[in-house]
Amino acid sequence: MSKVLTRSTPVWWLPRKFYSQKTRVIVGPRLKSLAEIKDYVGKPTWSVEEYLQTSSTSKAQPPSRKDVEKLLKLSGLPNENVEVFQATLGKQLAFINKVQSLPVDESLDPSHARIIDRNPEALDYESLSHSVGQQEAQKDKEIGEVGGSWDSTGLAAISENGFYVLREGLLKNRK
Amino acid sequence: MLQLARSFGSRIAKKGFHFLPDFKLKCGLEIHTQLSTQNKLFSLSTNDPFASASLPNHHTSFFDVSLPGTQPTLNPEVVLLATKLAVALNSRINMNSRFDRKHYFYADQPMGYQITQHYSPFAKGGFLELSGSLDTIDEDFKRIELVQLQIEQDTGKSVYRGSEGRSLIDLNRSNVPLIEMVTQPNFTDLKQVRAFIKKYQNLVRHLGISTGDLETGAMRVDVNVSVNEHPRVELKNLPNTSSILSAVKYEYQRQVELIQSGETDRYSGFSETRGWTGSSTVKLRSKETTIDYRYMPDPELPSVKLSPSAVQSVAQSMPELPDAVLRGLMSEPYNLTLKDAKILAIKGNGHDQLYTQTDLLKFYLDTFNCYSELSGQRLNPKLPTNWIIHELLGNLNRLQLTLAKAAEAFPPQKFAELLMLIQDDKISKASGKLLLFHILDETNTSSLAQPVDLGALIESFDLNTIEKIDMNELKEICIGIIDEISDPKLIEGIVSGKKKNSLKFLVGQGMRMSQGRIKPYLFEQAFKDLLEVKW
Amino acid sequence: MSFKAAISRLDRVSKIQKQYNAFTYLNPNCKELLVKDGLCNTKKPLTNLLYGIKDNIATRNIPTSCGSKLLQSYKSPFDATVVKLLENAGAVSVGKTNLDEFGMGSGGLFSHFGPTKNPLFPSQDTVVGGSSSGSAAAVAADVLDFSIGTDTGGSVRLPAAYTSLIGFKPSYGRISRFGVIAYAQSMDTVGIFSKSMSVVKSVFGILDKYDKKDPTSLSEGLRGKLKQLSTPKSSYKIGIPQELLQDNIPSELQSGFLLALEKLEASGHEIYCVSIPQMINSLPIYYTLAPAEAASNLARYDGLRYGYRDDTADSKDDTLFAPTRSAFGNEVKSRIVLGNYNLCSESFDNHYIKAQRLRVDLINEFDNAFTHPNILTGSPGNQNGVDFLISLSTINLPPALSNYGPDCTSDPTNPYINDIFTTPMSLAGLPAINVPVVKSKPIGVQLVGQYGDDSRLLDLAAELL
Repeated sequence: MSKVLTRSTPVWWLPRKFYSQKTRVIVGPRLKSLAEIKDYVGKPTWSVEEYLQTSSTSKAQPPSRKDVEKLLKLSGLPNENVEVFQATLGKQLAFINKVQSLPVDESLDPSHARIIDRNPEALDYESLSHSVGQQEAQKDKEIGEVGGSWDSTGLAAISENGFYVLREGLLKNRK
Repeated sequence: MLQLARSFGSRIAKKGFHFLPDFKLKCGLEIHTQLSTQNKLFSLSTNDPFASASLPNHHTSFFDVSLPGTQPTLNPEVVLLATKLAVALNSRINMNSRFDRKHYFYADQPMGYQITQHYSPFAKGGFLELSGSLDTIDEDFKRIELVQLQIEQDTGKSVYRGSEGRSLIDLNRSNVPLIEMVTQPNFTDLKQVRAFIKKYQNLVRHLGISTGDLETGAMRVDVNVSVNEHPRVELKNLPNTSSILSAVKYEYQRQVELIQSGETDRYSGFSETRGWTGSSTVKLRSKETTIDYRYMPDPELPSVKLSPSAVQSVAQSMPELPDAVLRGLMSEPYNLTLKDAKILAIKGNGHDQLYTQTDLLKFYLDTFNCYSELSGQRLNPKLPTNWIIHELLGNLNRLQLTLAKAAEAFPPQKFAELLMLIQDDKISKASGKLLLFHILDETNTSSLAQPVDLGALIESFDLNTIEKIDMNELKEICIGIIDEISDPKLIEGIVSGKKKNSLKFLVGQGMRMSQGRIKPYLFEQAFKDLLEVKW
Repeated sequence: MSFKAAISRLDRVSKIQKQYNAFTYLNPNCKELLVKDGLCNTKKPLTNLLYGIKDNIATRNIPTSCGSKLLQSYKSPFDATVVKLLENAGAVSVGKTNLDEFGMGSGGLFSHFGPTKNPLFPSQDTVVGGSSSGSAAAVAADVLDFSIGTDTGGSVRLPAAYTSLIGFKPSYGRISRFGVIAYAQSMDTVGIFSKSMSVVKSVFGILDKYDKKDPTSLSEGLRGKLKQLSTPKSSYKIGIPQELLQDNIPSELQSGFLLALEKLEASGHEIYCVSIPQMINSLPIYYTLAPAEAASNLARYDGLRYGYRDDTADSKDDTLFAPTRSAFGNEVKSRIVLGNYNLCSESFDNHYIKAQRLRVDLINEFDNAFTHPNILTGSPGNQNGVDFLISLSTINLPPALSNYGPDCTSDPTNPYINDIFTTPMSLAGLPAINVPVVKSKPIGVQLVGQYGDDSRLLDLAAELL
C-alpha cells in the first residue's frame, strides 16, 4: 500500500490553511479480482467489540451517587432511580472515555467540526445595511414574526390573560 | 446571614460613610445594554420589551417561544450596533466571533439556554477614559479598561403573584439583543463608578444604540467589589445609580468589618453573589451553589465573520464622540461652560423628550454659524448660548413643543436674525423674548407662515425700539406710573435723594409698560424732570 | 404512479398500521386530497405519490409528537420547509410515522406510541431499526411510495437496510432542517426512503433547495459550485475502508456485500483497499457530541409554553420542571444525563472539545481519501483517491423483538454498536445511501460519496438495483 501523495499544485479557490496535508489515510492497492476482494473483505483488521472492551476495562469505576444527582439536577430530572442512572452512565462512560485516551492534533480548530463552509465570505457594510433595510418587508407571519399574528399562549396547558404561568414563586434559589 | 446584614446596616447608618486608607476598594462593572434595534436578535419579531403591560407575549415569534423545529437567524442590525459600540470603546473587534449556549432552567428562559458569546466574544479589550475636567472625578484622568463585549439574548420577564404562589411569564423581552460589557476592576472610588455609568449611558444614547435607561432595565449594572484583594463579591439587582453607589458603600463597609474582625475565613461570604434590598446587601448564592452553565458552541449558528471594510465603514458613519463634542464646545469660538456644553451634548433619559441631543446640537451649531456670519467682528458667543439653551429650551418645555417642529417655523437662519436684532438694539431683550414665545406658541397651536417673517411680525406687534420719542407721551406715561404709587414715602425718598435706588423701580415700571421699547435712560431723565430731582 | 394504485394503497393503511404500528397519526383528509389532486388537470412532479413523514418534523394540520409523551398532543402552528415543498409538488401525506423518541435509538422500540415492527417478517415480531422506524416500515409494507426520515447517526440507513429499502441520507445542509425537531443538529439530516430509485431522485430534486430559515442550509453559491464539479463518469474508483470490516458478520450479510462488489466490478468500476484510521473512533466521538447537543436541545421541554405538563407541580426536589420532564422515556433521559456529563465544566475540554478535534481529523481524513474536492473544507481532493466508499450498512440482521429488549437495558452501549458503519458519514456530513442487495431481504450495502457528491452517488447506487 502506498501513502497518499500530497498535492503540490494549489487549487483555485482554496486557501491552504483550511485543509490538512499530512494524513494517515491510505488508498490502494486496487483489488483486481473477486478473489482478492473476497480475501480482503474476509480479513478485518480490528474488532469493535475488542475496541470497546479495552476502553471499558480502563475506567471501571461508575460515577458516584453525588455526581449523578448533580447531573440529574442539571438535566431537569427528578432525583429518582439514581442507582439505575449510575449503572447506565458508568457503562456509557467506559465507552465515551475512549475519547479522552486518544491522541489528537491540538492544532486542529474544533470549530471546523461543523459541516459548514470553513471559509465563508465576510460580511461587508453594504450587505449588512441592505439586509437591515429589508427586514420590515421580510417579517414572516408564518413563523409568528408579526406581533399578535398568532395566539402565543394558545399552545400552553396553563395560561392567564396572555401570560404563561409558572406554578412557583419567583426568587427561588436556583442551584 | 440576614441578621448580620441588619447589624451592618444600622452601623453604617450611624457612622456615615468614608473610605479607610488601609482598606483599598477595587470595583469592576458588568453592564448589560439592550440594543434599540428594530427587531430581535435571532428573529424578526419587533424589539419592544415594554409592550408587556397591555400586550404580554405579543412580540413573540415561534422561535422566541422556542417552538420545536424553529431556528435562529442573526439580525444584522445587531452586528452594526455592536460594531459602533466596540469602535467607540476602542475595543479590538473579533472578526470571527461565535455564539455559545449557556444552560440553566428558568421560566423566563424559553429554550433552557441563553445564546451568548462565551468562548469567542464580539470584541476584547478597549477602554473608556474619564477625565477630571469633564466627568467630575478627583483624578485628572482615569482610564477604565474593558475585558470584553459580547452579544447575547435577553430573557423574558416574570411577574410574581405572591398570593397565588405563581409567576406570570411574558416573553416580549425574550431574545431582545443585549451587549454585555465587562470592565476590569479598575474603579477605586465611587465618583469613578458614578462618572463611568453616566458616561457610558450617554455614549450609548449618543450612538443611538440604546435608550440606556436604568429605570426600565434597558441598561443593567452589576458590580463586583473586593477589598484589599480579598475574593470579590458580585452585587446584582441594582435598579438605579443611587442604589449602585449605596450598595457599593454598604458592601465596602461590610467587607472592611469582616476583615477587621478576622471573620473573613469564617464567612464564605466572600466570593458570593449578593442582592440589594434598598438598605443592605443580602446573599443570593455562594460559590458552592453556582450553576454549571455548561457552555457549548451553538451547533447551528454560523460565526459572525466581519470584513475589515465593514468596521471601517461603521466607524466613518459614526457621529463625533461626546468627549470630543464637549471639548469642541468649550473652546473657540463657542467658549461654552461645561454645564452648557453638557446640555447640548449629554442626553437625559429618553422619555417624552422634545428633541434629541443630536438635533439640539445641530440647531445650536447652525444658528451659531448663521449668527457669526451676520455679526462678523461683533460676535458675542454668549448670545446664541443664552437664547438657545435658556430661552428656546425653556419655551419648548413650557409649550411641550418639539424642536423639530419649532425649527420648521423658526430655522437657525431666522434665529440668528433674531439674535442680530437684539444685538443691534433693534428690539429689546424683553420684546425678543415675547416674540420668540409668540412664534413658538403659534407654531404649536396651528398655522404660522413657515418659515416665519420676522420683520412683518415685529411690525404687526409694534415691537420696534421707539427711536423718536414724543416727549409729551413719555411724560404722560411717567405721570401715570407716579400716580399709581400708593406709598408716598417712596417718592419722597427719591426726591430727597435718601432712596436713590427707588428711581430704578420707577424706571422698571416704565420699561415694563413700554415692553422695553423705550430705553431706560430716557425714562430716568423723564422721572427726574417730573419730580424735580436735584441729585 | 397511478391514482388507482394510490387509492388501493390507502385502503390497506389501517390494516398495516394495526400489524406494524408504523404511524403515530393518520391524516384523515388523505383520500380527499388524493381525489382532489386526481381531478386536477395540471400534473405536478409528485402527483399521486403517497408519503409519510417522520413525526419529528413539524406539520401544521396534524400533530407532531416526536414519539414522546412530552409532545403527545402538540400541534405545530407551522409546516416544516420539507412539508411545504412536498405539498407543493403534489405528494399526499398519509400521516406521521413512528420513531424512537426524539430520534434517539436504533431499534424503533423507544416510542411513546409503542414499538414499530418489521414488515419483512410478518410472522415474527422483528426489529425494524430506528430511529426512522415508521418511515421504513410503512414503505416496506407498500402503503407509501416514499417516506421522509431523519438520519443523525444512521437513523435512515439502518432501518432501510433492515427493511430492504433504499434509504438515502444526503449531504448535510442540502435539505432544509427548518421544522425538523433537533436531536443533534450538527448532524441531523433529512433522508428519503423508497423502493424506487427514480422516486428517491425526484423527491430529492424537490427537497434539495436552499432555505434562508435554516442557518445551516448550503448556500446558493456553493450549490452552484457543486453543479460545476459534478461530472459523471462510466467507471469509478470505489474503496472499501478496512475500518468498516468486522468479524462475526452474519454470512448472509457477507455474501450480500460480495454480491454487490461483484456487480460493481462487473459494470466496470475499480475496487480499492482504503484505510481511514479515524473512522475507528467514530462511535465514541459520536456519543460524546450527539448527547451533548441533545441535552441542550431538549432543555426547552418544560411544559410551560406547549406540550405535556405535569398536572400538579412545576418543581420537584428543588429542581425546576422535573415533574414534567420526568415524562421523557428512559433512553432519552439517559442520553440527556450523558450529554450534560460531557458538557460539565470538568469534562468539557477532555470530552467535548477533544471529540470536536477528532471529528475535524476524521473530516480531513475523508478529504484525503476522495478524489472529489470538498467545497466546505477547501480540500482540493486527492488525485490518487477514490470516488466512492462502500461497506455494509449494518453489522447484523434485524433481531427478533424478543431478543432485543434485554440487551439494550443490560448494556446501554451495546445497541450503539449498531451504528458503527453509519456514524462516520454522519460526523463528516457525507451523502450516504443504503442499497438493498437482495430483494425483500434485510441485507444492505452503504455507498458513500464526498460532501456534495449526491447526484453521482444516486446514479451509482442505481446500478446496484
